[in-house]
Amino acid sequence: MTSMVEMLAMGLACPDCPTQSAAREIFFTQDLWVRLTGTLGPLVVTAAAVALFVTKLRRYGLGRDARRVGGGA
Amino acid sequence: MNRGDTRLVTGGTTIGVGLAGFVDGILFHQILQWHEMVSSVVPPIDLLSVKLNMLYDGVFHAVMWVTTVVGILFLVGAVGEERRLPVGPTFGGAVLVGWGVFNVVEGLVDHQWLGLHHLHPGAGQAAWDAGFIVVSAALAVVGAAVLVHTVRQAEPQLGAA
Repeated sequence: MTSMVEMLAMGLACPDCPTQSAAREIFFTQDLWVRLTGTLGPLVVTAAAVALFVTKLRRYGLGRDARRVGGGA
Repeated sequence: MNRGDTRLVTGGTTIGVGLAGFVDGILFHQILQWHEMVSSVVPPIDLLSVKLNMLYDGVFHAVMWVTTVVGILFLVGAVGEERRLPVGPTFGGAVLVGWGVFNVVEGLVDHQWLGLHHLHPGAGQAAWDAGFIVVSAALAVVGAAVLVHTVRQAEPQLGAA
């Protein structure tokens, strides 16, 4: 089992270790937008779908209220 | 539905999205280690590729954390508002809708379209991906049905238009 001290000495886990720097370099230079689209895109699409759903549900509820208060079906 | 109900539903769906992301990231990425965020395009075969996947997982978790906070803010806003819908089924149904819709979209975008990762890579990965979408869609449908039923059961609001 490698101790944290040994990991630091090997440059595996520290703020500016070579692997951290290399990972950040790849993050910003290789296919960033495609991968960010996959990471963030589903959230944006879901937000739009949820907003549409809540709007429709609210309209449904208000329309139902109006019919019942007005004596409709 | 009044403004308080709308905030409760919006908060519930937003928190559902955040919970879906956390379950995906914590259960599938970290505990089971079936896949990571970009593991199908950057296979985690050495320390550098593991760290790059870890970085994308971190971005994903950070976004889900912000999403959850936004959902909590909607709930806090609903606390002070008059509400007509019961909290339990309204919040529960909304969470299922958010959870299910996010997983369906994530499955279609990341698994099917971009191929950044697959739920359970290897033999039968297409079946795992399809099953994930089907189960998630079922969650969303059940949540929507609960919400519509809850709205139907609510007493009408006088003066509603």
